[in-house]
Amino acid sequence: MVFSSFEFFLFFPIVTFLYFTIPYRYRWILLLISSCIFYAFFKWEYILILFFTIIVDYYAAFWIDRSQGRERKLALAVSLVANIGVLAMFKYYYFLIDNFNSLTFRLNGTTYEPRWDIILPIGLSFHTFQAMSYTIEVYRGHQKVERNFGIYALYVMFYPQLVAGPIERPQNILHQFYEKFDFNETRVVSGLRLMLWGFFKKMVIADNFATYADVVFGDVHRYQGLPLIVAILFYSIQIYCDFSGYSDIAIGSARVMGFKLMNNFKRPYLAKSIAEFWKRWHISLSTWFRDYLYIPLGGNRVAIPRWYLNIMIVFLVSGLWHGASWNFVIWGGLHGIYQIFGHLTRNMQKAVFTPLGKLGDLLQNWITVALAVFAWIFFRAENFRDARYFATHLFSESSHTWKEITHLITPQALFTLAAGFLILYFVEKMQERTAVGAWVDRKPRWQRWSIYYFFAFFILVFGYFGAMQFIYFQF
Amino acid sequence: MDKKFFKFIPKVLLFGSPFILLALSYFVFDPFHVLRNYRHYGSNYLKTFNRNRISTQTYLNYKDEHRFNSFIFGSSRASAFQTGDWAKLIHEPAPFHFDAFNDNISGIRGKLEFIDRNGSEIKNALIIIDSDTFSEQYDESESIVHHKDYRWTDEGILAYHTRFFKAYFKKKYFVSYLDLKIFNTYRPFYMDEFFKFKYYYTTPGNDFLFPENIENIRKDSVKYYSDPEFHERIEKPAMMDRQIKKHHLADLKTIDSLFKAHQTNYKVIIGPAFDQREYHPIDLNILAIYFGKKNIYNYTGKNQYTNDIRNYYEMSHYKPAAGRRIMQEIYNPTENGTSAIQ
Repeated sequence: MVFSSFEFFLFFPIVTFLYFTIPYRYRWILLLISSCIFYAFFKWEYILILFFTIIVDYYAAFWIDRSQGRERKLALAVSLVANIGVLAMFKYYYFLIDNFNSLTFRLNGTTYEPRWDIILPIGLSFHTFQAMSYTIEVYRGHQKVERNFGIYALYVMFYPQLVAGPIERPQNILHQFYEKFDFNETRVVSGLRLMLWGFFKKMVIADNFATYADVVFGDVHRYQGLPLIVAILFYSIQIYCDFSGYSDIAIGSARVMGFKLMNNFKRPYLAKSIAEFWKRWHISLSTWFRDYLYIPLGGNRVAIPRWYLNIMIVFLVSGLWHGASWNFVIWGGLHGIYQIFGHLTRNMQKAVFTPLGKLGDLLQNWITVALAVFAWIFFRAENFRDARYFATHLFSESSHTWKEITHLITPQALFTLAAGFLILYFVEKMQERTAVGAWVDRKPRWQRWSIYYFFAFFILVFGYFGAMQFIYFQF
Repeated sequence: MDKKFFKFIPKVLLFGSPFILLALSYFVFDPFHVLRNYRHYGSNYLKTFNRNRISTQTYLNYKDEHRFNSFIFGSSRASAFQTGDWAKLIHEPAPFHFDAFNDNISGIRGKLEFIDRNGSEIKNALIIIDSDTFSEQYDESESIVHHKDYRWTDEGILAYHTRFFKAYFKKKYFVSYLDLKIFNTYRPFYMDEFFKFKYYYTTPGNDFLFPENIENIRKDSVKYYSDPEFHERIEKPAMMDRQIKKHHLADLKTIDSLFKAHQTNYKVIIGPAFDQREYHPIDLNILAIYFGKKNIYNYTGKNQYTNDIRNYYEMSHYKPAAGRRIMQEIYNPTENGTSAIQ
């Protein structure tokens, strides 16, 4: 089920109503059933795959818990192999075969026909990583084994964060399924408000910016210069609003019921370096890689060349996590190079930008955004050929004038894009200084309601309903 | 149970009342005319009618009263074959026009099965074939004016109505609809929400008329036909691509079986398409396998109908005058008049 769908607008109030009306001890059962229904709306068969990893990890955790030494390691390995195996099977099967084929074709002119017709289950990378963090934490002794199978299944399947995160750690979420969350109006309103903001970002901003970006990315070779620059800028806004909008809806809907999910975005386009960008973008994934890959590799407590290698490994793996294509690996690699280059030039940057004061901050922010935007080309392009064309024709003589581009966007949509972007910009700027939710809470009721109505009607009138999926679902 | 939660519900309802009213407006106004039964639909000007719904509902409304036993199937191009003209040739008092926008073979099959299930006799049938007949383009689209009626498809009633309800909120439809409803003024920003052509649907025969085109031709036919579109035909148009795919054969077989079961006197007409492209001979042969060569009448390509631009309202639709002459040729063949593929 997609958050921005008609079905969810029915599903959410029904589940929330039942959640606060049924006896507390049955709530986890309600949430588990609701999560199954939520996921089955995509394709019910997906649940079977999900339950395979749930069962493996549930029992692997017991095995880890009661064993020591090599056996403990073996138990963890079984869990990790099962999870990564499922991921490899469903996500990287065709990618592996394609690469194998290009190798064998060069060597002896033969290719291998894929034997199975495999569809990637929605959000597989997210719940696999969440499941892996459970067995790793049990292995490390940071998390007690969960004995209730239903609660463990709910940890992996909890519908607000099932298909696109935030990727939670067991220490943060598992115990919450045992807590009794009483109805709290302030908390519920705050959750609903966050959901409203998420819907606004997704349905008004992301989906409207997508209409132009999709046209250009659908046939990149027809364009050069300005239309490509506009397309990648639009896509940068789209992907941010799409994914952070999803996270807001997820966190908001969980908050309504009392659950506290980790923050996933902190206004990344206001970052002043790529290192800071990654502390603000997809935080649950960056911290996952930090905790389970970067630090085990040695982190920054090693010689500098090894540290740089660690950074590159993490970003290349992160790229591959996002998609089974070399484009994603290049995207990850670019961010790795940005990080290393940022570290190498840190003294020079300080010398140049610090004396400029606020202007220096602004310039650093623009450079960071420009680098991130450039990398998105590889993230969005259909294939490497398109990405290379896009990257090499960004500053060529423009194939379309500004007037022609605005004609492509349509004047009506232009108003939506401008209004949506300005609202986003001002809200984000304000969030940087203060808690916007608390600011709204301090307003008199008529002002609060006016703000809510404004956003709700803006979504109704200018939003896309159900037509577009969230970008990060594919991962 | 949490008492605070129950105290919160009225606040939610109060806050949500504009949205609840908006949702209710769908049920009150029935913008797509799919919730209630309408005895007569009339003009579709600035409305969003689903032709499948109109045809199905009109059939149900009048089938017993008029004892329909003769049916015309096809897309809006079948409008050239009018029930009044056909009635004289088949000597039946009340034929019924069971067409739909861009209807395809599965739509025709569904309608025939529906007629059969409803106990109507299928004594005569005309199937008008065109470029839409073997296309699934509109089945795969989200177009609500093309959506097939749940009463003769596998779709459930809830899914059917949910689709229309959702459409009310998509693409700002409700804004345009309520604006038009309240102020009764057409505004230039309306996109494709409403029909801007003045079609008219008759009751009970369910014929599909083009009053606006007729009026414009009557006013100044020279000007009407001086539109460059009428004069931009390719001199030697390529033959049509093959249309009939393997998955269409089951529909053809079902239609053939129903015709046999009802001992239907049927004719299959491949209409005189304006582009003058010949129907593919393999497709013609496939149709002949199911319906018999003597029942297939091919009017595509260059011929007396397609050569004369005055037989057309526009590029898609030919006139009832052409349809009348074609039916006369078929039912009262003269020596050199028939186009049956034999």
